[in-house]
Amino acid sequence: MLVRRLLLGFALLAVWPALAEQEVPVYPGTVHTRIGNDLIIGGEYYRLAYFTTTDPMKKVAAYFAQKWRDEGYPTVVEGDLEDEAVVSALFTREGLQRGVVLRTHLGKTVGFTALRDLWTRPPKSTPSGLIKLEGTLYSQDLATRDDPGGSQNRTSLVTGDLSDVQQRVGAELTRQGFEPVRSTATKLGGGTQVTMEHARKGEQVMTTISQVDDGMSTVMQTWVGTDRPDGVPNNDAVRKSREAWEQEQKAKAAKGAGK
Amino acid sequence: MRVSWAVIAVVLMAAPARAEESPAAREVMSHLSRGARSARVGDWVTYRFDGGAGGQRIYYWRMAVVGEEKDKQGRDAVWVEMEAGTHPAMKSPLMQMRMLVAREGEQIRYDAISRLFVGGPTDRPQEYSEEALDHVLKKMDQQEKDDKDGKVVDPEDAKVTLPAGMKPVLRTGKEMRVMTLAGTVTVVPVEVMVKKTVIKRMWISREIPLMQMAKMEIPGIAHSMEVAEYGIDAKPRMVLPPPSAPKIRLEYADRVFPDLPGMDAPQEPADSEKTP
Repeated sequence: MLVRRLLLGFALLAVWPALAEQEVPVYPGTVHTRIGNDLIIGGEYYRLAYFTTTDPMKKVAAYFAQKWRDEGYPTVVEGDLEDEAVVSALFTREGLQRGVVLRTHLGKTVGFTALRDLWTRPPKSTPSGLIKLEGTLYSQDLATRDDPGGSQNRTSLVTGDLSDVQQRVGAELTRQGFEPVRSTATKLGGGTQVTMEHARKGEQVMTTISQVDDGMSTVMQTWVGTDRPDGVPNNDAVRKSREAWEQEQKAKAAKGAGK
Repeated sequence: MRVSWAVIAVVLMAAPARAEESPAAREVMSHLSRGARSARVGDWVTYRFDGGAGGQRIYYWRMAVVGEEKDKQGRDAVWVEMEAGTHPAMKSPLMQMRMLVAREGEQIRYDAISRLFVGGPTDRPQEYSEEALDHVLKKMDQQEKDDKDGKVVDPEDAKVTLPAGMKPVLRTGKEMRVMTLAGTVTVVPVEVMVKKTVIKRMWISREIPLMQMAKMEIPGIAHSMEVAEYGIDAKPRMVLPPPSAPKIRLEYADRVFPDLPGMDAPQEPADSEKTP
């Protein structure tokens, strides 16, 4: 009876982090393309990749479900398995969740494989140059783990029409020391989309604003830690990377000498 | 002689029949006395539970003794790990528990826990703070006392729930061999009867470590448990948090909302806030 009561006490659990150093799931016979490196989505670490296959969705979903269940991992399959499906498994000893999101596109099955770290949380830092306007209804951040030279993204849904939001974004970036580089307006699907580029020493911010409804706009921002047009990390980033590499080599050498 | 969990369960289920007077209990004790061993470090057992619903509620529960040391009161104690999951290999348990429990002689005292780690499906295992553990244990002690004093109507208490004249009776069979998921073992079958209805069937085996239980069935609700694997080579498996990790602390609703209707007044002493 005591044991049962203690088991019930698991409801009192709390969250605690750990590291993810493992790979994303793989569907055999396909090429997986990594999406970014280590990503931070909604304040959690992810690794993502995608693949396409001519195999039907049911077969792909069954492969992952069977594999993980056979290996002893608690696995869940959701979706109609015709147009969409999600298969995910918990790896509780490592603090990881592996999953695959499946969709059909142009007669093929497209799979997005994901590795999610359940234990580790990135330090809370406000992305430089990414702004949060007053009247923001929803905001989602996506970043890479390996600064410098990485990129950070923020998607927001903001109250206000296109020109109003555009003005407020420009004013805020100017206040932060960014200078406008260029601004373009394009017609897209009957609406207008404004793209603005701002730069500060060693940093670029690209902002795309679209009006999605009356008095409602989306703001998509990408911050890049570089001042080069090809997005390659700038000199400062290269220097930091070099220093990190040299320190790592020194540490390895010291460890080897200590044996 | 050590009284196993299984025997305790038998005796509790048939409350009117005292262990030393019941032929059934004597049969069980006789079986256990010929080879049942006390729990030792390394002992482990995994059970498969079927919660009915046409096999839709299958899960596994593992218990293992993985170490021993003195507890903070200087008593002999053992580290016991419990895991529950969807697969007997427990590569990915959905619940984990590791506790340091005192032992008196050969008996593990599961009510004398001095350290407790718990982990869930998405959480890293975390230790209960001393204050939180004390609170939980006190609450359980109080509940046990209330149950004994008859203050709380426990649906599992046969004295309370069964009408007069409906005493549960133990019935045992002869020692036999029975096939389980973990192989064929020697058992004593035990049935708990109320009139002609079998409430619970158990197959008690001295060969199964820790619980001495090979199988159990509760036919009325189609629940069953059966030993799936067992051994004597258990090692610690829980990934422990670093010593500096924060411990679990409880927040008491009756302190936060003392005037909330239905809440008892705070009973904890003021010094209970101290945590390690």
